[in-house]
Amino acid sequence: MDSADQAAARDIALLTAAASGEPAAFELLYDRYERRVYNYVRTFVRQPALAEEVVIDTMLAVWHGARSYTQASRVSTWILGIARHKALDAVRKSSRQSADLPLDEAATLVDSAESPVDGIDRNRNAQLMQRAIAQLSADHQEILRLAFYEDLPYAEIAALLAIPDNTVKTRVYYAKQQLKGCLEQLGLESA
Amino acid sequence: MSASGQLPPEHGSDSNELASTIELRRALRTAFDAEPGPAPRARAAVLRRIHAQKSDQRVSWLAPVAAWLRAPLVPRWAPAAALLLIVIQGAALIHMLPGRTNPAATVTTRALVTTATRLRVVFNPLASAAQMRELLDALGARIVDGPASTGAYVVELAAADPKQLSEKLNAARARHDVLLTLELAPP
Repeated sequence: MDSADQAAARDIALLTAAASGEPAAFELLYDRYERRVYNYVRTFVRQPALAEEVVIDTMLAVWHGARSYTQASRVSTWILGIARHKALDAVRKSSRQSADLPLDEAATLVDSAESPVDGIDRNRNAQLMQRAIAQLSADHQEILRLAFYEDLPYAEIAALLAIPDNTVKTRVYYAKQQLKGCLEQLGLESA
Repeated sequence: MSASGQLPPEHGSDSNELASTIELRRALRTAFDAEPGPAPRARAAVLRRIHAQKSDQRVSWLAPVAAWLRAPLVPRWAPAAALLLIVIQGAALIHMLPGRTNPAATVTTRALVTTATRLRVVFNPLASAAQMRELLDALGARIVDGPASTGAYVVELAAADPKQLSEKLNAARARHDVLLTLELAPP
Protein backbone atom coordinates (compact mmCIF):
# COMPACT_ATOMS: atom_id res chain seq x y z
CA MET A 1 0.00 0.00 0.00
CA ASP A 2 1.56 3.27 -1.11
CA SER A 3 1.28 6.61 0.67
CA ALA A 4 -1.70 7.75 -1.44
CA ASP A 5 -3.63 4.62 -0.56
CA GLN A 6 -2.65 5.00 3.09
CA ALA A 7 -3.89 8.58 3.07
CA ALA A 8 -7.16 7.50 1.45
CA ALA A 9 -7.63 4.74 4.02
CA ARG A 10 -6.92 7.18 6.83
CA ASP A 11 -9.46 9.61 5.40
CA ILE A 12 -12.10 6.89 5.37
CA ALA A 13 -11.31 5.93 8.96
CA LEU A 14 -11.55 9.53 10.12
CA LEU A 15 -14.77 10.18 8.24
CA THR A 16 -16.31 6.97 9.59
CA ALA A 17 -15.40 8.01 13.13
CA ALA A 18 -16.81 11.48 12.50
CA ALA A 19 -20.02 9.91 11.22
CA SER A 20 -20.39 8.15 14.56
CA GLY A 21 -20.16 11.51 16.29
CA GLU A 22 -16.52 11.81 17.29
CA PRO A 23 -15.44 15.46 17.08
CA ALA A 24 -11.78 14.57 17.62
CA ALA A 25 -11.75 12.50 14.44
CA PHE A 26 -13.44 15.29 12.55
CA GLU A 27 -10.85 17.78 13.81
CA LEU A 28 -8.09 15.64 12.32
CA LEU A 29 -10.00 15.37 9.06
CA TYR A 30 -10.59 19.12 9.10
CA ASP A 31 -6.90 19.81 9.54
CA ARG A 32 -6.08 17.56 6.59
CA TYR A 33 -8.51 19.36 4.28
CA GLU A 34 -8.90 22.95 5.43
CA ARG A 35 -6.13 24.45 3.31
CA ARG A 36 -6.81 22.16 0.34
CA VAL A 37 -10.49 23.04 0.30
CA TYR A 38 -9.74 26.73 0.77
CA ASN A 39 -7.35 26.93 -2.15
CA TYR A 40 -9.58 24.82 -4.36
CA VAL A 41 -12.45 27.17 -3.54
CA ARG A 42 -10.23 30.15 -4.38
CA THR A 43 -10.16 28.84 -7.93
CA PHE A 44 -13.75 30.07 -8.22
CA VAL A 45 -14.20 32.55 -5.37
CA ARG A 46 -12.13 35.70 -5.56
CA GLN A 47 -12.71 37.20 -2.13
CA PRO A 48 -10.79 35.49 0.70
CA ALA A 49 -13.51 36.18 3.27
CA LEU A 50 -16.15 34.62 1.03
CA ALA A 51 -13.86 31.67 0.37
CA GLU A 52 -13.54 31.17 4.12
CA GLU A 53 -17.30 31.15 4.43
CA VAL A 54 -17.46 28.49 1.74
CA VAL A 55 -14.88 26.43 3.65
CA ILE A 56 -16.95 26.71 6.82
CA ASP A 57 -20.12 25.68 4.97
CA THR A 58 -18.31 22.83 3.26
CA MET A 59 -16.78 21.37 6.41
CA LEU A 60 -20.04 21.66 8.34
CA ALA A 61 -21.73 19.84 5.47
CA VAL A 62 -19.06 17.15 5.72
CA TRP A 63 -19.74 16.79 9.46
CA HIS A 64 -23.50 16.64 9.05
CA GLY A 65 -23.38 14.44 5.95
CA ALA A 66 -20.60 12.07 7.00
CA ARG A 67 -23.07 9.19 7.28
CA SER A 68 -24.11 9.64 3.68
CA TYR A 69 -20.61 8.93 2.37
CA THR A 70 -20.81 5.59 0.58
CA GLN A 71 -17.15 5.07 -0.39
CA ALA A 72 -18.18 5.19 -4.04
CA SER A 73 -15.30 7.63 -4.49
CA ARG A 74 -12.34 8.84 -2.47
CA VAL A 75 -13.07 10.99 0.56
CA SER A 76 -11.11 13.78 -1.10
CA THR A 77 -13.31 13.60 -4.19
CA TRP A 78 -16.42 13.66 -2.01
CA ILE A 79 -15.26 16.66 0.03
CA LEU A 80 -14.02 18.61 -2.98
CA GLY A 81 -17.30 17.90 -4.72
CA ILE A 82 -19.17 19.51 -1.82
CA ALA A 83 -16.75 22.43 -1.86
CA ARG A 84 -17.15 22.89 -5.61
CA HIS A 85 -20.93 22.92 -5.36
CA LYS A 86 -20.89 25.47 -2.55
CA ALA A 87 -18.26 27.62 -4.22
CA LEU A 88 -20.15 27.83 -7.50
CA ASP A 89 -23.31 28.56 -5.53
CA ALA A 90 -21.51 31.40 -3.74
CA VAL A 91 -20.26 32.75 -7.06
CA ARG A 92 -23.76 32.69 -8.49
CA LYS A 93 -25.02 34.62 -5.49
CA SER A 94 -22.34 37.23 -5.92
CA SER A 95 -22.57 38.69 -9.41
CA ARG A 96 -19.39 40.66 -8.89
CA GLN A 97 -17.32 37.50 -8.58
CA SER A 98 -14.81 36.67 -11.29
CA ALA A 99 -13.79 33.17 -12.14
CA ASP A 100 -10.21 34.18 -12.79
CA LEU A 101 -7.78 35.47 -10.23
CA PRO A 102 -5.87 38.59 -11.28
CA LEU A 103 -2.10 38.39 -11.48
CA ASP A 104 -1.41 40.81 -8.66
CA GLU A 105 -3.58 38.78 -6.27
CA ALA A 106 -2.02 35.52 -7.33
CA ALA A 107 1.38 36.91 -6.45
CA THR A 108 0.23 37.33 -2.83
CA LEU A 109 -0.68 33.67 -2.46
CA VAL A 110 2.76 32.79 -1.17
CA ASP A 111 2.69 31.45 2.38
CA SER A 112 4.01 34.31 4.47
CA ALA A 113 4.76 31.95 7.33
CA GLU A 114 7.30 29.97 5.33
CA SER A 115 10.77 30.07 6.79
CA PRO A 116 13.54 31.76 4.76
CA VAL A 117 15.75 28.73 5.32
CA ASP A 118 13.47 26.71 3.03
CA GLY A 119 15.57 27.93 0.17
CA ILE A 120 15.44 31.12 -1.85
CA ASP A 121 15.42 29.36 -5.21
CA ARG A 122 12.67 26.96 -4.30
CA ASN A 123 10.62 29.80 -2.92
CA ARG A 124 11.20 31.84 -6.04
CA ASN A 125 10.29 28.93 -8.30
CA ALA A 126 7.16 28.28 -6.30
CA GLN A 127 6.15 31.91 -6.61
CA LEU A 128 6.76 31.87 -10.35
CA MET A 129 4.77 28.67 -10.67
CA GLN A 130 1.92 30.23 -8.71
CA ARG A 131 1.97 33.25 -10.98
CA ALA A 132 1.95 30.99 -14.02
CA ILE A 133 -0.97 29.01 -12.62
CA ALA A 134 -2.81 32.24 -11.90
CA GLN A 135 -2.63 33.12 -15.60
CA LEU A 136 -4.54 30.00 -16.54
CA SER A 137 -8.29 29.83 -16.85
CA ALA A 138 -10.28 28.58 -13.87
CA ASP A 139 -10.95 25.30 -15.70
CA HIS A 140 -7.25 24.71 -16.30
CA GLN A 141 -6.28 25.69 -12.75
CA GLU A 142 -8.90 23.30 -11.42
CA ILE A 143 -7.92 20.37 -13.61
CA LEU A 144 -4.22 20.73 -12.73
CA ARG A 145 -5.02 20.90 -9.01
CA LEU A 146 -7.28 17.86 -9.10
CA ALA A 147 -4.99 15.80 -11.31
CA PHE A 148 -1.52 16.68 -10.05
CA TYR A 149 -2.09 17.85 -6.47
CA GLU A 150 -5.10 15.86 -5.28
CA ASP A 151 -4.02 12.88 -7.40
CA LEU A 152 -7.61 12.07 -8.26
CA PRO A 153 -8.12 9.39 -10.92
CA TYR A 154 -9.45 10.74 -14.21
CA ALA A 155 -12.70 8.83 -13.73
CA GLU A 156 -13.36 10.60 -10.41
CA ILE A 157 -12.42 13.97 -11.88
CA ALA A 158 -14.88 13.31 -14.70
CA ALA A 159 -17.60 12.48 -12.18
CA LEU A 160 -16.75 15.51 -10.04
CA LEU A 161 -16.84 17.93 -12.98
CA ALA A 162 -19.67 16.11 -14.72
CA ILE A 163 -17.69 15.81 -17.94
CA PRO A 164 -16.59 12.77 -20.02
CA ASP A 165 -13.32 11.01 -19.23
CA ASN A 166 -11.85 12.02 -22.59
CA THR A 167 -12.62 15.66 -21.86
CA VAL A 168 -10.60 15.33 -18.65
CA LYS A 169 -7.64 14.00 -20.62
CA THR A 170 -7.75 16.72 -23.24
CA ARG A 171 -8.27 19.41 -20.60
CA VAL A 172 -5.22 18.16 -18.70
CA TYR A 173 -3.21 18.18 -21.91
CA TYR A 174 -4.15 21.74 -22.82
CA ALA A 175 -3.69 22.94 -19.24
CA LYS A 176 -0.15 21.59 -19.26
CA GLN A 177 0.55 23.27 -22.59
CA GLN A 178 -0.82 26.57 -21.35
CA LEU A 179 1.19 26.29 -18.14
CA LYS A 180 4.42 25.62 -20.03
CA GLY A 181 3.81 28.68 -22.14
CA CYS A 182 3.20 30.82 -19.07
CA LEU A 183 6.32 29.51 -17.37
CA GLU A 184 8.43 30.32 -20.42
CA GLN A 185 7.01 33.84 -20.44
CA LEU A 186 7.98 34.21 -16.79
CA GLY A 187 11.50 33.02 -17.49
CA LEU A 188 11.14 29.72 -15.63
CA GLU A 189 12.26 26.66 -17.51
CA SER A 190 9.28 24.38 -17.93
CA ALA A 191 9.38 20.73 -17.05
CA MET B 1 -5.27 6.25 -14.75
CA SER B 2 -4.27 9.32 -12.80
CA ALA B 3 -1.94 12.22 -13.50
CA SER B 4 0.34 11.35 -10.62
CA GLY B 5 2.96 9.92 -12.91
CA GLN B 6 1.91 6.33 -12.28
CA LEU B 7 0.97 5.75 -15.87
CA PRO B 8 0.16 2.31 -17.21
CA PRO B 9 2.81 0.75 -19.48
CA GLU B 10 1.06 1.69 -22.72
CA HIS B 11 1.27 5.33 -21.68
CA GLY B 12 4.72 5.13 -20.19
CA SER B 13 6.59 4.10 -23.28
CA ASP B 14 7.76 7.61 -23.82
CA SER B 15 10.21 8.03 -20.96
CA ASN B 16 10.75 11.68 -21.73
CA GLU B 17 7.03 12.38 -21.46
CA LEU B 18 6.88 10.45 -18.18
CA ALA B 19 9.82 12.34 -16.73
CA SER B 20 8.25 15.59 -17.84
CA THR B 21 4.98 14.71 -16.15
CA ILE B 22 6.73 13.72 -12.93
CA GLU B 23 8.70 16.94 -12.91
CA LEU B 24 5.59 18.99 -13.62
CA ARG B 25 3.73 17.26 -10.81
CA ARG B 26 6.58 17.96 -8.40
CA ALA B 27 6.69 21.63 -9.35
CA LEU B 28 2.93 21.98 -9.08
CA ARG B 29 2.88 20.30 -5.67
CA THR B 30 5.56 22.66 -4.43
CA ALA B 31 3.56 25.64 -5.64
CA PHE B 32 0.26 24.38 -4.23
CA ASP B 33 1.90 23.44 -0.93
CA ALA B 34 3.07 27.06 -0.60
CA GLU B 35 -0.47 28.41 -0.79
CA PRO B 36 -1.78 29.95 2.41
CA GLY B 37 -4.74 28.55 4.31
CA PRO B 38 -7.77 30.42 5.57
CA ALA B 39 -7.70 32.54 8.70
CA PRO B 40 -7.84 30.61 12.00
CA ARG B 41 -11.35 31.92 12.60
CA ALA B 42 -12.70 29.48 10.01
CA ARG B 43 -11.45 26.48 11.98
CA ALA B 44 -12.69 28.01 15.23
CA ALA B 45 -16.13 28.67 13.75
CA VAL B 46 -16.54 25.12 12.46
CA LEU B 47 -15.33 23.42 15.62
CA ARG B 48 -17.37 25.71 17.85
CA ARG B 49 -20.57 24.76 16.05
CA ILE B 50 -19.73 21.07 16.12
CA HIS B 51 -18.92 21.05 19.83
CA ALA B 52 -22.07 23.05 20.54
CA GLN B 53 -24.07 20.43 18.68
CA LYS B 54 -22.39 17.66 20.68
CA SER B 55 -23.26 19.48 23.93
CA ASP B 56 -26.88 19.63 22.86
CA GLN B 57 -26.83 15.90 22.20
CA ARG B 58 -25.34 15.19 25.66
CA VAL B 59 -28.22 16.88 27.47
CA SER B 60 -30.79 15.32 25.19
CA TRP B 61 -31.55 12.58 27.77
CA LEU B 62 -33.26 15.27 29.83
CA ALA B 63 -35.54 16.10 26.95
CA PRO B 64 -38.24 13.48 27.76
CA VAL B 65 -38.38 14.66 31.40
CA ALA B 66 -38.60 18.28 30.33
CA ALA B 67 -41.30 17.42 27.82
CA TRP B 68 -43.29 15.62 30.50
CA LEU B 69 -43.02 18.60 32.82
CA ARG B 70 -43.98 21.00 30.09
CA ALA B 71 -46.89 18.91 28.82
CA PRO B 72 -49.57 20.53 31.04
CA LEU B 73 -48.36 23.92 29.89
CA VAL B 74 -48.56 23.10 26.24
CA PRO B 75 -51.33 25.26 24.74
CA ARG B 76 -53.20 22.33 23.20
CA TRP B 77 -53.71 20.84 26.68
CA ALA B 78 -54.69 24.10 28.34
CA PRO B 79 -58.38 24.12 27.24
CA ALA B 80 -58.89 20.51 28.31
CA ALA B 81 -57.22 21.15 31.67
CA ALA B 82 -59.36 24.25 32.25
CA LEU B 83 -62.53 22.34 31.38
CA LEU B 84 -61.60 19.54 33.76
CA LEU B 85 -61.03 22.05 36.55
CA ILE B 86 -64.40 23.65 35.93
CA VAL B 87 -66.16 20.27 36.05
CA ILE B 88 -64.44 19.37 39.34
CA GLN B 89 -65.38 22.68 40.90
CA GLY B 90 -68.96 22.34 39.70
CA ALA B 91 -69.27 18.86 41.15
CA ALA B 92 -67.88 20.02 44.50
CA LEU B 93 -70.32 22.95 44.55
CA ILE B 94 -73.35 20.75 43.82
CA HIS B 95 -72.27 18.29 46.48
CA MET B 96 -72.17 21.06 49.10
CA LEU B 97 -75.64 22.52 48.30
CA PRO B 98 -78.29 22.16 51.15
CA GLY B 99 -80.73 20.40 48.86
CA ARG B 100 -78.33 17.52 48.57
CA THR B 101 -78.74 16.60 52.26
CA ASN B 102 -81.09 13.74 53.27
CA PRO B 103 -84.24 15.24 54.91
CA ALA B 104 -84.86 12.12 56.96
CA ALA B 105 -81.43 12.36 58.53
CA THR B 106 -81.91 15.93 59.74
CA VAL B 107 -84.36 16.92 62.56
CA THR B 108 -84.97 20.57 63.15
CA THR B 109 -87.21 22.37 65.64
CA ARG B 110 -88.94 24.17 62.82
CA ALA B 111 -89.85 20.87 61.24
CA LEU B 112 -91.54 19.66 64.46
CA VAL B 113 -93.48 22.90 64.81
CA THR B 114 -94.86 22.78 61.35
CA THR B 115 -96.16 19.28 61.81
CA ALA B 116 -97.70 19.88 65.29
CA THR B 117 -101.20 21.21 65.94
CA ARG B 118 -101.78 24.09 68.27
CA LEU B 119 -105.06 24.43 70.13
CA ARG B 120 -106.54 27.08 72.33
CA VAL B 121 -108.29 25.56 75.34
CA VAL B 122 -110.21 26.97 78.29
CA PHE B 123 -110.41 24.64 81.25
CA ASN B 124 -113.49 24.36 83.43
CA PRO B 125 -112.74 26.32 86.61
CA LEU B 126 -114.19 23.44 88.63
CA ALA B 127 -111.79 20.91 87.07
CA SER B 128 -108.98 19.63 89.22
CA ALA B 129 -105.35 19.66 88.21
CA ALA B 130 -105.44 15.90 88.02
CA GLN B 131 -108.33 15.98 85.54
CA MET B 132 -106.59 18.58 83.34
CA ARG B 133 -103.36 16.51 83.35
CA GLU B 134 -105.32 13.38 82.44
CA LEU B 135 -106.99 15.10 79.51
CA LEU B 136 -103.72 16.54 78.22
CA ASP B 137 -102.10 13.11 78.46
CA ALA B 138 -105.01 11.60 76.56
CA LEU B 139 -104.55 14.14 73.80
CA GLY B 140 -100.79 13.81 73.81
CA ALA B 141 -100.55 17.55 74.31
CA ARG B 142 -98.48 19.95 76.34
CA ILE B 143 -99.11 23.53 77.45
CA VAL B 144 -96.86 25.88 75.48
CA ASP B 145 -98.46 29.23 76.40
CA GLY B 146 -100.92 30.82 78.82
CA PRO B 147 -102.92 31.38 80.69
CA ALA B 148 -104.13 34.49 78.85
CA SER B 149 -106.30 37.13 80.45
CA THR B 150 -109.27 35.14 79.25
CA GLY B 151 -107.98 32.07 81.09
CA ALA B 152 -107.13 30.30 77.82
CA TYR B 153 -104.05 28.12 77.33
CA VAL B 154 -102.31 27.20 74.13
CA VAL B 155 -101.47 23.53 73.91
CA GLU B 156 -99.52 21.75 71.23
CA LEU B 157 -100.33 18.30 70.00
CA ALA B 158 -97.64 16.10 68.56
CA ALA B 159 -98.03 14.95 65.01
CA ALA B 160 -100.41 12.07 64.66
CA ASP B 161 -102.65 10.32 62.24
CA PRO B 162 -105.46 12.77 61.33
CA LYS B 163 -108.16 10.19 61.97
CA GLN B 164 -106.83 9.33 65.43
CA LEU B 165 -106.37 13.02 66.19
CA SER B 166 -109.97 13.77 65.27
CA GLU B 167 -111.23 11.01 67.57
CA LYS B 168 -109.12 12.31 70.43
CA LEU B 169 -110.39 15.85 69.96
CA ASN B 170 -114.04 14.72 69.89
CA ALA B 171 -113.50 12.78 73.11
CA ALA B 172 -111.92 15.82 74.74
CA ARG B 173 -114.79 18.10 73.74
CA ALA B 174 -117.15 15.72 75.43
CA ARG B 175 -115.38 16.28 78.76
CA HIS B 176 -117.34 19.37 79.80
CA ASP B 177 -116.32 18.79 83.36
CA VAL B 178 -112.75 19.57 82.32
CA LEU B 179 -112.95 21.70 79.16
CA LEU B 180 -115.10 24.64 78.27
CA THR B 181 -113.53 25.57 74.92
CA LEU B 182 -111.34 23.65 72.46
CA GLU B 183 -110.44 25.31 69.16
CA LEU B 184 -107.53 25.75 66.77
CA ALA B 185 -105.13 28.40 67.88
CA PRO B 186 -104.30 31.13 65.39
CA PRO B 187 -100.89 30.68 63.86
